[in-house]
Amino acid sequence: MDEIEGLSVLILEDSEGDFLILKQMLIENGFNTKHIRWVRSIAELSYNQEAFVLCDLNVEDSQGITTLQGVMRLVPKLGTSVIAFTGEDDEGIAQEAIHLGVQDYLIKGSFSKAFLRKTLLFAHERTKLLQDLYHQEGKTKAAEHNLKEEAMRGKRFQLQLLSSQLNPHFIFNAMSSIQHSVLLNNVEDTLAFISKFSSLMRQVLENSRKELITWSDEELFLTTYLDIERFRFENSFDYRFDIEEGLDAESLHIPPMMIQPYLENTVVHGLGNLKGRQGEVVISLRHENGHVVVTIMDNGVGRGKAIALRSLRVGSHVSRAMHINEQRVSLLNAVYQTDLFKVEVTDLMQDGKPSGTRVDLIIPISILS
Amino acid sequence: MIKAIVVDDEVKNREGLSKMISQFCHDVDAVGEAESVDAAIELIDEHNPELVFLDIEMPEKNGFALLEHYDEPEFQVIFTTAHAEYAIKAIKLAALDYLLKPVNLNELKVAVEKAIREAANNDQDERLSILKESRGQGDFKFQRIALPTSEGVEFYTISDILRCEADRAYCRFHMSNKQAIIVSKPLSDFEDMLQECNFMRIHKSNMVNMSHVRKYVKGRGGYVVLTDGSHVDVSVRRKDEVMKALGIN
Repeated sequence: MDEIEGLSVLILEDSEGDFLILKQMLIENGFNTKHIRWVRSIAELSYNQEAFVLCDLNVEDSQGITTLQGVMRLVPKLGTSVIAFTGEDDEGIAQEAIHLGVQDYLIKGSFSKAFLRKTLLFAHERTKLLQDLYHQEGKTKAAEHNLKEEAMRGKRFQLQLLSSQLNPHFIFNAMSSIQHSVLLNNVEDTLAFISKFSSLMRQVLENSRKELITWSDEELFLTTYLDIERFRFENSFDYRFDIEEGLDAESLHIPPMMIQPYLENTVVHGLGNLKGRQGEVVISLRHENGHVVVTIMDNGVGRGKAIALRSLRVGSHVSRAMHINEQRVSLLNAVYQTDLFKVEVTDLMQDGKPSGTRVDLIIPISILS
Repeated sequence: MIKAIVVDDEVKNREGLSKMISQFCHDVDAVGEAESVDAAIELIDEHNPELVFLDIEMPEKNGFALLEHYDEPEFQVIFTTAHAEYAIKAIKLAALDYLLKPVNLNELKVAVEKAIREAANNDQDERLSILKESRGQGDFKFQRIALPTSEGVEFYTISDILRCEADRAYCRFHMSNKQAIIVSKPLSDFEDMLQECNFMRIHKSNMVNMSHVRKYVKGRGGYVVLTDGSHVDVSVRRKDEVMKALGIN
């Protein structure tokens, strides 16, 4: 029990008599004491934190529960036990006092030296316990925060990983095209293709290192990609960009690798099945309600037909490609803590017949910077 | 000289492969190219080739659809694919041959030689039937496996296999009827496809059919007891994974 000896008690009491009685009891119990008469004096003390504040409810500058409110506001939240003592026994005020965080409520003249010692000792233990709990809670919160950070880092990393991946089908088929040029001794085409393909690879590497890239970088990337596909499909389709007027392509930033997978889907499934007519894909960009909307529109076989064709294909690679695209959108939403990234697919009809597909990619640029 | 046709929906792939064949495979005459399964059927009926290079991924009808058309094709098949992982598992399971695109010249030569050699064996029908029976709606469900042994290819029901044991460049398939089949390929060659059939590598040297595990006995790694009463060690590293697969906490 010696551990509370030498701890200091601040006594707020304006009656000299009551103060002396209290001081006597405390000193005999081994405490140090300090004396003040006004609540406002607490603020003026050069505060060497006291273990206890014993306060009379009615002092010169404050009465009743207001005194306690003032004291609680002025003493540090942790580590100090505040104990009220008063001449009158009022259960209502006692309750209110405990509610404010006061440790105990004593009636003047009703306690012995030993009782006071016990009261202070218990209050001190409770205060220490509260302090520990508070620190523990802080640690738990910090740990939770770290976990969240960790999960977010994981998501960012996943997104980056997806951004660095081209569809393996595309890569290997492109390699087959180049093999074809070599076998035909077509030196010029081969050289041009190797340069294009290297350029595409370099752009994927560079862009995937960034969270956002400029529209001018994105347009260059899509152009390189489409040129390679045109070579592979023997120029069986054309493409063009339709960009809203006045766009500053250097200052508009979007996440990398969001558009290309949908474009690839269009080329391979929408335009790849065209027989005898020239395909066309238009990539347009406009601002709408504070978002950027990129639209991919083709004059291909339409989604219904493409899906029917696809279902006759083997295995699951097509659905996996689509799955990866959906995963990207949901990762983007997770990383930017939003649900505004969206992809909408519309079937185009003309005279009651499918006449292509339109894909709208909604990029909430306002939350990106 | 044998006749071959090339089936692929992409013109550059068709032309490229035909060109490679005519330049580098002197025993083979590439007599035609088809861009679809329907065109291929016409071409096959016309030329009666001994060998068909068959792309798996094609719009409208895929390569496997061509095989459904023939009960017992009189030609040998070499599949070609850019990247159809799952289809490749099925092809390997049936011990059929395939080439990855872009085609590697040496692999092409080896595959062609093998096809010519095996044309005499006449067990392709059985291997193709493994592929056909495994094809469900959209994905694969494997029932049998073709195992290359010293005497040729042997066919087994997968649920009869208890485990595969690695033995350097070989592996030993232990069957529920106590038979052990020695296969002239390493265990790693079967790992991918058997994983699809509820097999698990529980140790460096053993891949176990989890449907045949009767119990797990705890230890550092512990071991499993199979339905024939045999014990197979679980490696310490894989213990957690094995217990999870068996639903033990």
